[in-house]
Order: sequence, then structure tokens, then C-alpha cells
Amino acid sequence: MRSVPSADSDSLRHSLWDAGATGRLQTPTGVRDVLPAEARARRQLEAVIRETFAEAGYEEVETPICEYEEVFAAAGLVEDSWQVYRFFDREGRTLVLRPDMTAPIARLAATRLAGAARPLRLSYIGDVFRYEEVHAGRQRQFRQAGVERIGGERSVEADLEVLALAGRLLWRCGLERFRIDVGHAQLVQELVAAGQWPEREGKAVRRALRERNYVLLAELAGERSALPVEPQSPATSPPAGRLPPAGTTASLGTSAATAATASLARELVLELPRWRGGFEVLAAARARLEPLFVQRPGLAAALDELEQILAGAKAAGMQLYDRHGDPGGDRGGSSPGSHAMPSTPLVGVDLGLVRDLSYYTGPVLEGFVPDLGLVLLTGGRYDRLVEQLGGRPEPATGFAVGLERLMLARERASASR
Amino acid sequence: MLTIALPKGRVLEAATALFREAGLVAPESAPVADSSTGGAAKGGTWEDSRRLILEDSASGLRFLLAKPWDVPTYVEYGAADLGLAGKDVLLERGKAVAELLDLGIGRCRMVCAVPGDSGVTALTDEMLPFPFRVATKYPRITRTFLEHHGVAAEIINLQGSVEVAPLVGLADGIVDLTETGRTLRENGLRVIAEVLPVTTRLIANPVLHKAKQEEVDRLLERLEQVRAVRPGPGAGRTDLV
Repeated sequence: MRSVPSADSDSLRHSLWDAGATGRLQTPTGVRDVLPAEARARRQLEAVIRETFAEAGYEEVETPICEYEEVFAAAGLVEDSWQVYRFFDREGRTLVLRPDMTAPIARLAATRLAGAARPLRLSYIGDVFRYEEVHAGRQRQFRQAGVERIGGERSVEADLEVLALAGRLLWRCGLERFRIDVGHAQLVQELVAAGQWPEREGKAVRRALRERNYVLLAELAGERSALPVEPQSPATSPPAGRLPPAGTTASLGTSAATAATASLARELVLELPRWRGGFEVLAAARARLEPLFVQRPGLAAALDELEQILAGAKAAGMQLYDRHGDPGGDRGGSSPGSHAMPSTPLVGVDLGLVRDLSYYTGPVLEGFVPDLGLVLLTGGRYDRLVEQLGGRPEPATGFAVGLERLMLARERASASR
Repeated sequence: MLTIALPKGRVLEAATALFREAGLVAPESAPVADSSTGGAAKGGTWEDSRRLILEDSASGLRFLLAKPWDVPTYVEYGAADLGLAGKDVLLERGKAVAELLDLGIGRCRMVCAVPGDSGVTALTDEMLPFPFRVATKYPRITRTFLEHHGVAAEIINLQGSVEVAPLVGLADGIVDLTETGRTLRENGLRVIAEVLPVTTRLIANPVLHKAKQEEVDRLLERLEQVRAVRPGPGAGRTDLV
């Protein structure tokens, strides 16, 4: 947003108050003071968070408030959709106030902690800065607490460890009713790729999913005219297990098959956001996606991972929700607002979940309290980021919770009790 | 219970009709203003009513009457689960809300127009003034649109009666909504570029949409059946901003 020229605001101040009177100094838009009562509440909350992270074996680190632009560029955080605070040092290098904590910690893992034993289990509490419009419980400077688990085997156990810790954290912070949805970045990526949109439309599809703009998504999915008529490259053409016949009919036949696959993928992209719930939803999704597995084995792999995560979550005592958003199994008996609150989160899959960070490569998390229309917790797997920052290729996963929003959720929860 | 923010004004009548047709509002609880009688219809209408929150006990829906520009804000903050907003308002406001359905009502076009006697016929016309002074209620959309077309512009932000601006020498042209083109013609304005087709969308708070999935899906299904489907020209263009 454009700032008002100071001459205007001076004369505005003079008109609203006595001419010449000194106005009170305010803090700039998007940043604020924390007064004693809030500071105290925040310190108590942070103590609980630190304790929870430490019990799980995560050690706290601190990184500087600004980094060279390259760190966030590697993480895809300085594209134009991300509005960051940028400035120059006296040598003319571009510095960025951190818009995110994961990239600095991945940088740490790639550099000073490159030789440390794996897996690294690191936690942090710190302020991040995004130059965006102040909206819905979020200033331009806000505080995040989170963990990163970097290195070791790439395993579903790591995802589960982080998921369970996310659940425990929200519960320890006093939230009784919350849900954590699990999506999969690779599933979305593969399905969009299978749709064979031209590059620009493909990006728009991903954006439509991320912004949950289902009207735009339907428009993009419905554009039959943009379907490929010829195989794009030899690598994508012959379906495995079948040799292409010779001659011109070959390319015709293959292109028809490719077009059919693309057409199916486009239909399924449209269905993605509706697939939310437990095992039964995964099974339904698998049945629908199966025809694409030959060409896109990543789809099957992603579904397998999600199934393992649900099974692991259940085994760890978390409740799964069904497609109605209710706890599976004991539905019907429990009325909302009854004292029998679940002490663990409700966990389920949301296959249409796309986080606004492009570095995710696997399962992604989104946690929220149903009554409060704000996302409290986000996270996921990012297996390429450490390498992109100059480290070795190693798997990594983590989550962050927004402290201001968490405090808001706690207030609302205690007010409604 | 779902709370739905409805925009007062131009679209409210069509919206109420749509909800009634979908069986989501009992006919007697929400008589629609008859525009032929100047809104003063029999039996007290939503338009006439001074109450801003109305409940329909049969469907379990609560309606919140808001200024059209404020609907996305109510929804973003979760004060309403759902809302009805024009694509013009959504793009100009840029709020983080989910867009669930194109309801097909409130259909109009956002266009760029100049005085018919100016001799300018297109944005690429070399007679286009430099910088092009444009009066609009939509500074954000206008800036993005004109930048995209490489037009150097000075944007004059007005709250209404935008068509008058070129007549009194305030601006060289306008960007505004037009339904039939009548107001433009009456003010001697000629369309030189289509900016965006506009319809009313059903929007949702992204989290509440998930939390109340079943209720929302039921509503969505019914509205899908009755919505006025008629894809306009250039229906893929809503990704402009």
C-alpha cells in the first residue's frame, strides 16, 4: 500500500488537533509494542513451548534477524508473491529481514552444523518479518516457534515424530479442540504435471489450489482446448509394458493415450480439495488415481506415505477424523461441546492442501482450531533445501506455530469455556 | 449454523432469489424487494429491513447484511463463514478467502472507456494521452491492468460516479463496471478495452470451510444446482491480478 506523504499527514494532524501541537509518536505499520501483561503471558507460553521441545530432544538455536538474500532466494521466498524487507549493507550486498525461520536453519545445517551428528533436532523461537498488509491476527513482524529435524534416514517415522510433537505442543498450550491436516506436496505436483498444462497454466493451477480458488481451478481444468495433441517428449510417451506400434499411427495412438491421461488428471485435480478425512478417503483417492500410477509412480508413493502417516498417528493414540470432520468410530454419541473433549488432535488427510512455501517436497501439515478461522501451525518435509543452500542432499522436516495466533486461540478457548 | 455475509445493493435481490430457489431460505421469511416498485415491496423486505442480521430457522442459516466491499473482510476474519462477493471486489481487496463457486449472478464487465469524441479507439492508440489519467473505484486492478498493457497511467481514485470524471476534464478515461453499457453511452463514453468479466462468487473462510465441511458442502450442492450458469466470454481471465 502507498504511504501518505508526510506533508498531508502533518496537515491532517493539525486539522484534527490544535495546530502546532506535537502529535504522539507511533510505531510504524505492522510492528507493535508488547506491554507487561502480554509480555508475561507470552513468556509463560514460550516456557511451555521450550519445555515441550526440549522433552522431545530438540535443542534451541538462534539465527540472525537478517541474512543475505541468497538464503531466502534458494528457498523461493523472495519471489514477487513474497514481500520481504530488503536493504543493503555498505558493500552493496542485499540483506533480507527473515520472512521465515526454516531457511536460516537449513543454512545453518548446510554450513556450521554440516559436520554435526544427524539427525539434527533443532528448535527456535523468533520474530519473522513479512512486508504484507496487516490482516487477520498477523502483523508484519510476528513470532514463530518451531522445530526442524534434519538429516538421517528419509522415513515416515520422521514425519510422524514431527506430527506428534505438533499435536503435543498445541495440547500443552491449552488447546483442546484442534485439527491437523496432512497433505502431500509431491502428490499435487505429480498430478498437476500429469495434467500437462502449458507452464503458465500449470503455475496458475498450483496457485488456485494454494489460494483455494476453486472457481479458477474449475476454469483451468475445463479448458479442453489446451489439452496436448502430441506427445511432448519421448520420455512421457509410451506407456510402460506396451511397445509402440511402428509408423504414423504410433504417434497418433500414443498422443491419444497421453491426452486421455491428461484429461483424467485434470478432472482429478478438481476433485483434490474434496478428499479430506481418514483411511476411507485415501482409499477412494487411490481408486480414482490408479490409472495414472504407471506414468506417475510418485502418486502411488505419496499415497503410501500418507497411509503410513495415518496408521502411525493412530497407533500413537491420535484420533483420525472422517470425511465429516468428526472423530472416526465414536460418531453420533458425542455431542459438540460435551465435556468429553479429545485430549489429542484430530488428524486427517487433506489432499488439496498446498502450502504457500515452494520448498516443500513431501507431506505437509496445517493445524487449526475449528472455531477460529485462522491457521495456527504449518510445516512439512523439505528434502532439497539444505542442498540448495550448499549442503549435502539430506531429508528434513519440521513445523512452525504462530505465537500471536496461538495466544488468540487460547483466549478464545478460555472465553468459550 | 452457518453465517453468510450478503452484499447489500445491486446483487442482493438476485442472491435472495437464488437462495430461495435452492430451498435455503423459506419464501415467507425473506420476501424479495420488487425493483419495479422502487424496492418498497409488500410485507417488508430484506432491502427495506433495518436489521442487519437475519436468521432462517428452517435452513439453519444466518445472514449478515454488509456493504459489498466489506464482505471479504468479514469472511477473512471468520466473522462470517461464507460470503457473496463480486470478482471485482475480490481482486481489488486481495483477501485470503477461498473462492468456492461462481454463482453467475451480478454479471457485468469491467471495462476501460474514453470519451467517444476523443478519437482514441484502443489502448495501443498513439493518440492515447501520456500519462493516461484514469478515474476508477478500482486503483489496484487498474494499475495492474494498465501496467500489463504498457500504458503509463495516473490513477485517480474515486468512490462513485466515475463516468462523470472525463466529462469535466478530471480524467482522460475510466475503468468501471458496466452491465448494459447504457450509463457509458449516456455519458458519451466508448469502451476501448475489456478488463475483466465479473460475476458474484461464493467465498469462504479457508479454515471454517474445512471445519464445517459437511454443512458447506450441502449448501454448495444446492447452490450448484440453481446457479445461473452461462460462461461469459473470456471466462479464463479472472487470474489477472
